[in-house]
Amino acid sequence: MAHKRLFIYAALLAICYLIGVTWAETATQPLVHSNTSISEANAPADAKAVTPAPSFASKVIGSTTATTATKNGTAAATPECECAGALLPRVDGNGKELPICPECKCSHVARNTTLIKVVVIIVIWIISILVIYMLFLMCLDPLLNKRVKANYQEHTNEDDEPSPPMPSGSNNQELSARANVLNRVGHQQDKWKRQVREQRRHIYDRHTMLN
Amino acid sequence: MEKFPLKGSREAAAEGNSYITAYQTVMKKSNGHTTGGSGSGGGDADGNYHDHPLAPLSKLNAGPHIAAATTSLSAATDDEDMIDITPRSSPGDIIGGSTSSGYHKHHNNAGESDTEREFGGNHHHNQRTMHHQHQHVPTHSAFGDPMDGGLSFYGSSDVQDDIPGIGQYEDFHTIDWQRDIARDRMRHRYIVKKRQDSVWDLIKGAVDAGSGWLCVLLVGIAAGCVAGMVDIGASWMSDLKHGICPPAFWFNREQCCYPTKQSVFEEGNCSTWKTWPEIFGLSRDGTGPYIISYIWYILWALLFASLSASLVRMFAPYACGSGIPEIKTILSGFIIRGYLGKWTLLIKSVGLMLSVSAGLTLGKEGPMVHIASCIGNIFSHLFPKYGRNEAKKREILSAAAAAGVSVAFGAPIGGVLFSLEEVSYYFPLKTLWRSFFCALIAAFVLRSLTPFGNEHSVLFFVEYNKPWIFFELIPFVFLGIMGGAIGTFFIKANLWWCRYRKFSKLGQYPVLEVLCVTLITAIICYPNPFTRMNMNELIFLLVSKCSPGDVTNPLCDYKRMNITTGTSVFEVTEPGPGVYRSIWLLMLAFVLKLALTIFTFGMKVPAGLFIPSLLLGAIMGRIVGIGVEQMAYSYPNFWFFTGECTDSNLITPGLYAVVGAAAVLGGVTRMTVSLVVIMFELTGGVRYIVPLMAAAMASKWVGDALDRQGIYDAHIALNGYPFLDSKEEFAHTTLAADVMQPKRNETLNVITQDSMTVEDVENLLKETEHNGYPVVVSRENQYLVGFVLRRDLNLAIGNGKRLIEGISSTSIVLFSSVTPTQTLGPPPLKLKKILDMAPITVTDQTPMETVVDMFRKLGLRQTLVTHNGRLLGVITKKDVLRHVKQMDNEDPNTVLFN
Repeated sequence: MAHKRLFIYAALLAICYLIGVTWAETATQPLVHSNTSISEANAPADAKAVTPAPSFASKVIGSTTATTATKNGTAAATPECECAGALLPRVDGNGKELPICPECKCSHVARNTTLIKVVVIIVIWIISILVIYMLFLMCLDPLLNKRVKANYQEHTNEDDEPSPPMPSGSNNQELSARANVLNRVGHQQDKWKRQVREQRRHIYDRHTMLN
Repeated sequence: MEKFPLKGSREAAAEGNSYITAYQTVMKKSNGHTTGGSGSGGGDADGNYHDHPLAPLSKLNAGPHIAAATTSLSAATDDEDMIDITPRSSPGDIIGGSTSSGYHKHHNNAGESDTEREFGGNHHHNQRTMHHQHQHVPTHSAFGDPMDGGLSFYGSSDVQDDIPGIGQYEDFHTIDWQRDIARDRMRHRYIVKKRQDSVWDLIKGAVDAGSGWLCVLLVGIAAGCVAGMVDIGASWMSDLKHGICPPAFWFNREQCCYPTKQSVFEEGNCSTWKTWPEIFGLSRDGTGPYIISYIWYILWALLFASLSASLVRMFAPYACGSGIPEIKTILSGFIIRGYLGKWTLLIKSVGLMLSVSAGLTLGKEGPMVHIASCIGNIFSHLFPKYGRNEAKKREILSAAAAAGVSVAFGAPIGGVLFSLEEVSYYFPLKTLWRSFFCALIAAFVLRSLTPFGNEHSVLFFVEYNKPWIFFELIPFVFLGIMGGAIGTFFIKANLWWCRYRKFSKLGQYPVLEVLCVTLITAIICYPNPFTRMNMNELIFLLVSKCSPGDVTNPLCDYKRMNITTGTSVFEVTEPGPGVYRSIWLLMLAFVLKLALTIFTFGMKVPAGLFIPSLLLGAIMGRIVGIGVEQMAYSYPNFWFFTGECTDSNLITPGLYAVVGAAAVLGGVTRMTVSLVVIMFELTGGVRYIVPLMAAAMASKWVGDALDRQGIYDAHIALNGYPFLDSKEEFAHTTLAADVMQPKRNETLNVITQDSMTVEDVENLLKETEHNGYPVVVSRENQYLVGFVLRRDLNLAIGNGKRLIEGISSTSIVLFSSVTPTQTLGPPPLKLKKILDMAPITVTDQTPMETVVDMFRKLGLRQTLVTHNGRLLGVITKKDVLRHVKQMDNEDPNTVLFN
């Protein structure tokens, strides 16, 4: 059971590390933000990001940078598309009504920054945990398994043994319960590993599937 | 046969009664009983069999007469035996030996009342009288007399499920649709009956009735959430190859430069987004920073690809590939354990993000279908109605597949149609509505989760609304033809490469292969600005219209002039040098992407091919569109260009890109209806349905003329999945006798209904590898009683040995409900409840066309072949698949089967 415990410690350590990293990021975030242009978007970390500060969330941006307001090719009329007054009728010098900003497209865009942050951090977490677990299975597990196999040579049929032979002296309930839980976890893990090995044989060795 | 139409029509057997009646009819026929109630079995059969000369049978009777388990059809010309058509040969039958007319009467009249009583659940009656009444009456259940424990098939929690695992299937087996649907019908009837008992049962009944909708609701929500996560994660990681947003590392470039609209070609004035050279303190432009960006791009791509490949290899090898061929096979009734499991879901989602971010030429749409199906499978286990019944589970999976496409493209209706047209096998209208609901929920959840603003739910929004003129149908059809040709070429080349990978040493280095392809992709793609960007962005660029003033996009380098003819002023555009340069770059990109996609699709990473094919088509379409536009510019007075609308520029190259994308995707996948719907949902261009339809149709025709198979069918054939395509026709003139097993001179392994011991059966199970055994009256009289599955037999014998005392290897295995009178020896093992009393049978002269049709439409697993009412052989799905392959001159041994 030694290697199982070691694995759990490693997993705990990894989780602590990740929590620390995430926390550090959140802690330093407002500081960094204060001098960037997107600071208004989420200056407080817990801002309601679905409808942030109205000055920004309802900020309407024109998706084209320049427009030709008239057909005469004088592109100097409104170089920047201002959506604020785009729909109001405008008159030129002769009192004739100009067409309403014909090429200007105004669209309302809002975004949810908190969701992006949370999702990206979750994704980083998942990938890190998977990578750590993969490295563990690749490097440490074979070594530990070898040692365990050397110690218990009769440990061949894991299906029939509900619990490993415990030392008779220790009748500690708590210990046996924990061992049981660990055992069950290990059992599940073994089963899963067998399944994966089977899948790998189908795909990578025999090439019967998913070519 | 009409009871379970595979597609399109409403499930006919919504009420249990009609179903049961129909089923009984089938059953009676197949058991050799005549349905006419008047004649007694003995008399009629007597006449019949004397009329029949046994000449045709005799040639099949060459096999030796072997004892014990295996029996041949050795000349059973004993007429006395042949008369005895009702399976009543045990000596203890005297009590049950009532008149045949009484049997029929009972059968016809007492059917309903019996059912009522039986479903009351009190099956501890006086065994004697019950047996007396129910002898040989194939009541209500296909699985034996409900009195004998047929209740255990209900799958309901309050019924003791005495043999665990009955009704499940082994890995790589096909399911028996008929059996599973009948099981569900039984369960349903039981619940309906119980509903009157108490309020609690009423509530349970209501929950059961609504569980299908609840399940698809959950599936839709989960699919939307997962798709949202994959979207956000993939877009962030893709931009990580170029740079990072130091103030908030979780933003991609678009979000980082949120206030200012960015072009995909240059960073512009966005100071918050830092490219990698800038992070290292270099400037943004120049040779040095370019090289550094190049190297970083390659390194990130390699990192992502290696992570993806090794995660897939380590945790869930089933997560690789697109998954649609396998989903198709699974939905047609095949079991692949673990293919839709939790680990597959997790690894496929993560690996998909990584492999998309690695810049490989693959899309995330096909895998999204797989992901949604995994979600469907996982959630169906919450509801025993679906989780424990494989046929019912496939209804949920169909709906989940629709949700997958719905979230992948933001095209709910397209998703439903995709599920109907492409992946599903059994698709009653009930499933259609559930798919509709599931797709709706999934699209809604994704839409509300997507934090990117409004336009993101439509992936490649076309903002133009220009009419197309009639003449343009010619280039559209041309695009369709090209799309079909390119699609077929792609399928052939990809299949060739996959076959090479399968049979050569290359297949032994899956991770290395991924790394090599990634390296090559990154090295080749970076210098070309069109291939450097994400494929989504490139498609968006290609389908969008050039607006005046768009200076960063080289595709929009037009000189704009205004020509005044009479009163009307219209604007014409002349392509500038940027357009010509980008046409060359696009052609280069087309060739590269085509080659890379051929090598990428089928690698051991999660990879779909919708986006690459759309991209290929969009490039082709844009080039053609620019050509047509150029023609219209050069010869504006041709009669076909003088359309209805002369006030503006007629030809929109972006529309050609949309049509081209549809054409290539149609050529690759051979979809039609769902493709068009997906395309106009994808682009929002409802106005362009006719061009899309023309292109899709042309593409389908050309593709089918060149090669019949779409990419998914080709991959199914390559892997040899047991998929019986319901769209293809079987046009050969073989008979059932040619296909059935055993062949001549071989013996058929049967189990007798009341004379074999446990040891005999165990020996039979040991010596043979069949998945099921027909049960006959006796070895001499091979009249069919039913069919029993190997797995059920194993479980039941093991269970009986464990739980019933006195069962030893010399116990008689009893498949009839009659208890032998002699009490010598150990008690018999009654296995009637695992017996399928209603196997589908055909005669040996049935044309294979009919048999194949039955397998397709009824979803059979096997059918029994009879001659003159006696059992002759078995045709399994495997035999049918092999036969179809043999008839098509393919190697029949490639079929993957347990």
